[in-house]
Amino acid sequence: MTAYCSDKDWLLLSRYLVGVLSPHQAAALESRLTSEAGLREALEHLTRTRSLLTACPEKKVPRNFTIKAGQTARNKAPRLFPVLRLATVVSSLLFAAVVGMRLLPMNMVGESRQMADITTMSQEFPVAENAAPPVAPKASLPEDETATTTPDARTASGAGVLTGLSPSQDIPEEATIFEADNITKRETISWGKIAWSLGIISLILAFIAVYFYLLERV
Amino acid sequence: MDENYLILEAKKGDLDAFNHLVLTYQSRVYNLAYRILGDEAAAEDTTQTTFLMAFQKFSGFRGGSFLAWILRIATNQCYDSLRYAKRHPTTPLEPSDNEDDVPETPSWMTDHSNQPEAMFDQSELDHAIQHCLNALPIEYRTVAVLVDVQGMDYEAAATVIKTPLGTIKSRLARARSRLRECLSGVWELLPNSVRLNIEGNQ
Repeated sequence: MTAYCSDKDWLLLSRYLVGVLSPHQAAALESRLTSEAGLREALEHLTRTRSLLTACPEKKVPRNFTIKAGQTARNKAPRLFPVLRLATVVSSLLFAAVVGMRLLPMNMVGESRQMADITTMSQEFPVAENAAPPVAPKASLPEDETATTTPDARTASGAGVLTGLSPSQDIPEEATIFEADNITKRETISWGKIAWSLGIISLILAFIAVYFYLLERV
Repeated sequence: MDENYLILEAKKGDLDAFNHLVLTYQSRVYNLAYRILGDEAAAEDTTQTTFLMAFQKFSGFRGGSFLAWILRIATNQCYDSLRYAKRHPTTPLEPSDNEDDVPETPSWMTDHSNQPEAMFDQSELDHAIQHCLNALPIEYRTVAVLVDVQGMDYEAAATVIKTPLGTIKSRLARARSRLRECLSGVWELLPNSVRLNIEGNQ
């Protein structure tokens, strides 16, 4: 009593059973049915299966499912979820912005610009042995900025050490190089401040979201 | 009462009109839920939730077949219910004898029927079919219930579960193939009268 058919044959028989095959496909299948006993048997089983399922008795509903006015009113009452949702979304977006800003755009741009400067300078002025520590860079920095120098900025000023010039050499375009450094520092600092502000707002919103969530749960 | 009129009134928030629709379709929704979930209590809850949700989201009904729309909500509710059950599995309370041991043949499994010809009545057939349906993957089961048990055509079933027609056809073929294996034994055990009755209804 086992009828083995390919998936394609089952699909054909299944569609044949409900009469949705095209006349051409139906004729082709009927000719196969006359010659292939296995296919005939499969169709017979499928017909029985479908008959059993169709004859499946309908369950009587245990009660009426009509809705009472009180049910809809209670469920339609606005709750705190919109606030919760909004706070969550805003804090998530701000968090993503903070992470994005800290990781990707300005710092990378600044770093790549510094790297380009370093490369250019090291090509033009090879590193001298026993290089003297640079005095000019520190002197050129404004006092208020030295206090807030970021690690990136420190690396930038350290570039002067890497490219340390011998005392006998002139320092060409000195002002231009350190001016570029200062611009990068300013950009880093301002973006850093924005990122911190956004981070704090994000944290506050996250706290609001958690507060409302807990309130909702209680 | 005219269904279109009831739908229009229900859209305006008329609960009475909506309840008329509930009374018309509650049997279809309940049976669909029961066949998909395989549990009467869960089907009851799902049916109630379906109608409640339908009333609350009636503005989302853009015309067409109301039955297909309500069955779509019911199907989604069933999926949610099954997902919930999967996340929160429960342990059935197994009946045991007085010594707290589960006997090899528990009393609740004993067949008290003394008439062989009555062994396979409609209720048994119902259980056998449900047992085989439960063994199917959920996507196959849904299609089999919609098309073979509920008697919908392919297009209507595709509308209900928002699935391409080709997918419906292939799922149904696979579902029938698996059900055939499961139900082959059932057919052999059916009394002749029931067999004839089923064959007569074809």
